[in-house]
Amino acid sequence: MQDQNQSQSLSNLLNQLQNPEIQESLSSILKKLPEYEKGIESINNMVTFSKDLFNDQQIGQKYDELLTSYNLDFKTIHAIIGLLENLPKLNTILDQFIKIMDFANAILQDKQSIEYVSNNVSQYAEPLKEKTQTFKTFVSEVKEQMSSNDNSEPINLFTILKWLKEPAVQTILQYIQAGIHVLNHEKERNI
Amino acid sequence: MRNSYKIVIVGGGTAGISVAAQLLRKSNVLENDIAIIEPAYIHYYQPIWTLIGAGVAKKEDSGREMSSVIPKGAVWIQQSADGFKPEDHEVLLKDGTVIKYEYLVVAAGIEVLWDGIKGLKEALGTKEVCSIYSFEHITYTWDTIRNFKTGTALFTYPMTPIKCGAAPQKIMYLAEDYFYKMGIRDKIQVEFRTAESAIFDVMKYRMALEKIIERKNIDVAYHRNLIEIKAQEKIAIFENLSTNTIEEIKYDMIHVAPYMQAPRFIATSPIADANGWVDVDMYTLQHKTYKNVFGIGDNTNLPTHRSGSAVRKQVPVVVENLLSIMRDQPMNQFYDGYTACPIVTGYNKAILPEFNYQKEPVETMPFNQAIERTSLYLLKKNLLPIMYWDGMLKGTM
Repeated sequence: MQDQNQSQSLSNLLNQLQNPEIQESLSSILKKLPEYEKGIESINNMVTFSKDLFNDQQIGQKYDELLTSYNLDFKTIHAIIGLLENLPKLNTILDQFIKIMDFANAILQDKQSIEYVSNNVSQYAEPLKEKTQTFKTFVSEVKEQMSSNDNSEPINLFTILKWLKEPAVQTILQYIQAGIHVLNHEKERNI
Repeated sequence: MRNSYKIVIVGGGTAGISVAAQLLRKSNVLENDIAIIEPAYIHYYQPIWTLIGAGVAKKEDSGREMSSVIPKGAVWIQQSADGFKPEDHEVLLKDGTVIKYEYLVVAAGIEVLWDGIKGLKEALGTKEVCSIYSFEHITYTWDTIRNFKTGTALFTYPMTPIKCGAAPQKIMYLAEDYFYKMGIRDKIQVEFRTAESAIFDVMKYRMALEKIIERKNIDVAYHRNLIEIKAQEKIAIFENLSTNTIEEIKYDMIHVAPYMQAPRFIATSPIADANGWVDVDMYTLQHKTYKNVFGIGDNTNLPTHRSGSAVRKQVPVVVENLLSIMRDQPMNQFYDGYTACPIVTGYNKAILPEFNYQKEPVETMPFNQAIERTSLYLLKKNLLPIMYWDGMLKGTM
């Protein structure tokens, strides 16, 4: 009975070996056997090296000492995990930061844009400069007149009445009058 | 010349340059494998053309050499595109060259039809016929405005889609403000004739602009489409789109917003929809038929206002989605139709509409942007050009 089973298995095997696809595969494997052998040898070397490294207490101790010389503890590991968790957010922030830096850098290197902005700024500043200049001139002219006039002569009532006709004085007085009106109005509202 | 690239971008305008710059920032391996097809020598920052036409910006500030804005790592093919063979992954150039691509981005802008309105092309730049849509004639626009003393100043808006749809209004508000500052406003009748049915699509800004128009005493009529200019007689002929009748207006100066359409080489190609625009999905910006093709900017059939700010929001969507399909990953970026158009309403004020596909305001600033503000004018005049040249075109904004 056992012989019969063996003969059956052998017959199946021979049948399969007659299959051209199997024959082709076997032939291909046989051709590549030297490469496989090299591969297996490399794996074997790596396993041996790992075993030796693991067993080499001197090296183990050296790296152990090296690691303990740094402040690496559970806190560090927690921090690493935390960092990893936040990496997507940090990446977004960093990306924005880099873009801002690059934008600022591009502006600094862009002479045309700098010139454009500085021209515009000077245009806005020009009227202010003119006004300041006008005021300065006014003040210095008043000072000049004060120093050149003979101020010993007293100002009488007639002179003050003459001032009242001056348009500049009228404008100032009108402002004062408007201010008094507003103050009175506020006072009435608060009563 | 090399004839095959991983990514080919048709158009070296705002969209094309920004897409190339962002792609190169995101993926170093694309260096020297992105080609930009663009025939022009000069790249223009067009949003400033309104201010040039109003005499507050210099013409030379709006243009830079194309070579200076092509991102490092992109190859500039200085040719005009002439057609597409998307089945074969090919772009055809005017000189007969064929450029092959793995992925294509179509960013060719919009075409101005100067001959669309009878008499316009011949009259433009003469006899008080001006337009800020023509770089050549922007200074003539300013000359016309500053030399205008009395009569009817007419401003038009056409029935076709146009780029920067608020520009015809902006130049009108600026001109009106100039007449006012010169003390001649009461001698001038300012008129606006538009083919649109309202002054603005979004209710919040429409209400703000209607108040401004009322304050400025501008005469506005809707559903009026300019079809002819008789420059010699200074007569503008409009079609009343509501009654299908013809109306004539005698003017003393006219500012024209010309008809515009999709570039012809796109309209006649397989990538176009029935109206000639690049047929893209309105959210992913991927072509509806050719999955390795994306469309961006003015040449697409996206149902939003065509503007540089719209492009600014479309660029990251195209870039991320393109990189996703290159990596066999699902696309995860979606464009919500965002667009913005700072509307200058005078020489030191502006409003800033920002909205999406639903015509809902989506404002960025912590204040009401429908109120005229000097800060928004300063933003438009001083900050946006810098953001454009040094941010958008460098791929950081």
